[in-house]
Amino acid sequence: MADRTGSHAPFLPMLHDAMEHTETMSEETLNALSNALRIPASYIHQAASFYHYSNLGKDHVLREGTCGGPTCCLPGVGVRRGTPGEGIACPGLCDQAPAALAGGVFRGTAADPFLPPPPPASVDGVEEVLFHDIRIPGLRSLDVYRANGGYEQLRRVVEQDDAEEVIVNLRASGLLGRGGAGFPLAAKWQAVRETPGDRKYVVCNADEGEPGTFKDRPLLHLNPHLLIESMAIAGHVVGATAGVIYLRYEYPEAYDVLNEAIAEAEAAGVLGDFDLQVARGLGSYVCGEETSLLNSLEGLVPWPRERPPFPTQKGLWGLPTVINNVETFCSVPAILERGADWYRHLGRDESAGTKLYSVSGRVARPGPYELPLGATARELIEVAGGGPLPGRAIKGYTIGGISGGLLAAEHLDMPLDYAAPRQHGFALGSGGVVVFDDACCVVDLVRTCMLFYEAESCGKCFPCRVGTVRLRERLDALTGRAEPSANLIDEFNEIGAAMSANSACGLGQAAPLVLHGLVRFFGEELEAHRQGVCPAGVCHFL
Amino acid sequence: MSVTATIDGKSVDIREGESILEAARRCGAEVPTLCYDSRVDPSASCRLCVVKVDGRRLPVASCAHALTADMNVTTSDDELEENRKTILKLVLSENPTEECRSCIERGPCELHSLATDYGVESDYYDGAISGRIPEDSNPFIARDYSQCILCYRCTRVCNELEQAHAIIPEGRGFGTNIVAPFHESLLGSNCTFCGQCIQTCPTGALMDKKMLGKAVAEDVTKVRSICPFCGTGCGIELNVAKGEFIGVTPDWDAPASAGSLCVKGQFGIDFIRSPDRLTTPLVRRDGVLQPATWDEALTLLVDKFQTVRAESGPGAFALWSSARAPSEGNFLMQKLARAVLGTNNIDNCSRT
Repeated sequence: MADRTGSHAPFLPMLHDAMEHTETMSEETLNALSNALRIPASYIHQAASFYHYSNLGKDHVLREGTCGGPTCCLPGVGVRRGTPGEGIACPGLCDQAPAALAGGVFRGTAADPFLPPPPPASVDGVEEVLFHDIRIPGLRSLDVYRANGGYEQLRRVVEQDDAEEVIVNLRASGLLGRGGAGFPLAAKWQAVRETPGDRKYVVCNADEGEPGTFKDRPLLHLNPHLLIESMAIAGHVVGATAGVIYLRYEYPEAYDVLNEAIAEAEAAGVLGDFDLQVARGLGSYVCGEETSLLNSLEGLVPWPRERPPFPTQKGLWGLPTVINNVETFCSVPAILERGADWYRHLGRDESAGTKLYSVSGRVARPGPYELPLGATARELIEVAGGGPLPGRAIKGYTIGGISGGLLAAEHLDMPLDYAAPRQHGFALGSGGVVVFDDACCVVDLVRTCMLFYEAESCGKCFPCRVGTVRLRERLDALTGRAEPSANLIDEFNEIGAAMSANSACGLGQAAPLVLHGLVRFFGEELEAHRQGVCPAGVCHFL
Repeated sequence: MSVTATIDGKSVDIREGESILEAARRCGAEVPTLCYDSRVDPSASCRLCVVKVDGRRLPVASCAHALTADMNVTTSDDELEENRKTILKLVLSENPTEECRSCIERGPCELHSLATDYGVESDYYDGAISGRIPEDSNPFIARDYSQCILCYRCTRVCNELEQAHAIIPEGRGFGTNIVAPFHESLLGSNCTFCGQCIQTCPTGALMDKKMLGKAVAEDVTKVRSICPFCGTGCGIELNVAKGEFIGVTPDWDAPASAGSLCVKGQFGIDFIRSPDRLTTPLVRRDGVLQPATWDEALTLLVDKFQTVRAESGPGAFALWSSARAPSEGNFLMQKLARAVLGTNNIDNCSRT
């Protein structure tokens, strides 16, 4: 077993090491891990049995499969799903759908895994911040990054050594967390800065597992130093010398890119005493939930933790921890360079800054796009995303990947900001948008979403563990796979309400939102399905 | 400075380390739980104990949050009760039980008591059931996961309280199983058969195998006693049905053990009626142990002791006293060793 002394979070790297040497995880290997990590073997077993791509209790690591995500299962894009367990979790290649896992490699229709995002389309007032430099050839190398102003902000922050000033700037910029919850970045950094302690952590959530979301991927693949610089700035501001990037299993190319970039930055001495490491996940959507992510790093089963205490108080290893999404971190250097006012005014109306949106599904130009925060769904879909496919009419779209809610074409002018979706009880979330048109069945789409939640539910809490299954079964019935029950809508509402209010984390709380959208905005199509008719001709009834 | 909070409109004093759930129950609120066991860290899994706290967007799991100054808590309203009812319907649907063996033999289980309280005994959702791994061959713990609701009380008690680390949830979501890693039966696992998993189980999934089918709950009388196996003095309840001893349950109020037992106290008390139990001294005659009188047995012992002492000296003796003897008996045993036989080679099985 490789020596992982000095690793901030050795469990995942050691599990990966162990998996390289054995097709099936043996009891001896688990016991060796337990001894090395000083974690009871029972806990290691529980944790290792959790992940999609672990080989515990399996003949070998899963190496083949087609994507079971909502974009890849749309008609004309990929395969309509049959039963639970079919299809791999969304690997974040929705812009290149259909995606598949073949020979252990995740690929969409594009041969090059390092495709830059499409150039900005003609949306008024677009000024790219995060994607500003991303199409510069060779940006992954330290030299090119530096030649374009890279590490200049880190140098200034270290030189001026005025953390309060940085926080004042970030607060004035109005930057809210881009991972989904929209918590003010400055408040989070301030909280960690003010929490006493010699040891603190900076953790990046690069577990971009939300279906229909692939906006962090180009940043990780093409501009790794931007993230590294941003995390080092965070470390300096809050008083942390250790950082961990939690990278999703499905982005193996990014693992190499980040490690190479970190090595290059360290060799050049630009990071000072900030020690940054990458931990690669093993396939689990719920690990994108920040407290599950922390448990995953610690080698515990990645069930969410109760809050409070928040990670700012007790995060990784119980120590004060800044944890932010890739996009959030990466917004920081530009704000420091060009000023809070400039950044704030990039957004529409009350919204501050830009947002990375992912648009996929039935659109002409799917891709990750950077638009002003508060751009409308119509701008994203019709202008940036190239509009509907020829001869087709957009019927609706999901937001927040799929976990923000589901809307109809009549809502296309809704701003994709933090406030507008709340009017429907929905959320901007990750900024992912999956578009469906008149060739698609909205009921079948919602079922695909529920299959995903069911497969990813961690099992900790009752409402999500059982509720996701019961909702999917009722959607099975509506889509011709079983007999529908009489009081279907009541059951949807009851189960959805209990899940939204009582679930332990965002997964279970958000899972019913697509269903709420279906019931509210697609009543006719829902009713037709109850009568055994699928207007789009997608569902086949028994 | 305020040191009170409000629960259901009543002012409640704050006690260090007390959860909202504990405080609410202290002042008489009925907050349902299924995953709660006060002896282990709360897991906040069942989500039945959620309450509304002013200033919090969503209800919070009262088991996992401390009551703090000025908190305003609502433990029950229409919305909370509706959602609790829905969660119960979901849980009951996961592994519906026609006849709960716990309810029949141990009295109403926690799950079905709540189901009755909420009027959802049979009014649950249709759907797939999750129970799967079969009964195993161990002699003590009857595991029937077709009655399991995955509250994780057994695994938390096993890992956190007993630190036996024998059983653990394996897998994810609806497909989660409770397993002894790498072992189908508990016999090959780290299990010490303390039986604590049985005692915390809120359903009929885990039962005392020795007691299964022996009696119905109405016929069982519990007699408080002390475990006779060692000097700790753990509290037990002898379960008696129609004059017959059928098994042991822990005495939760016992000061020495507070409900904990080991394999001997939990499963070993059936020696009471064992045909192997000695009721008269035995003396080996012609190579065979045969019943004898106390006079015959003691005379033989005295003869042998004197012979050994004369031939090999007092150091040839080692005396081992039983924890099942009373303190006075153990005292006399060491007197026999030191004052009569003249050796310090005296020990007691409680030490081992």
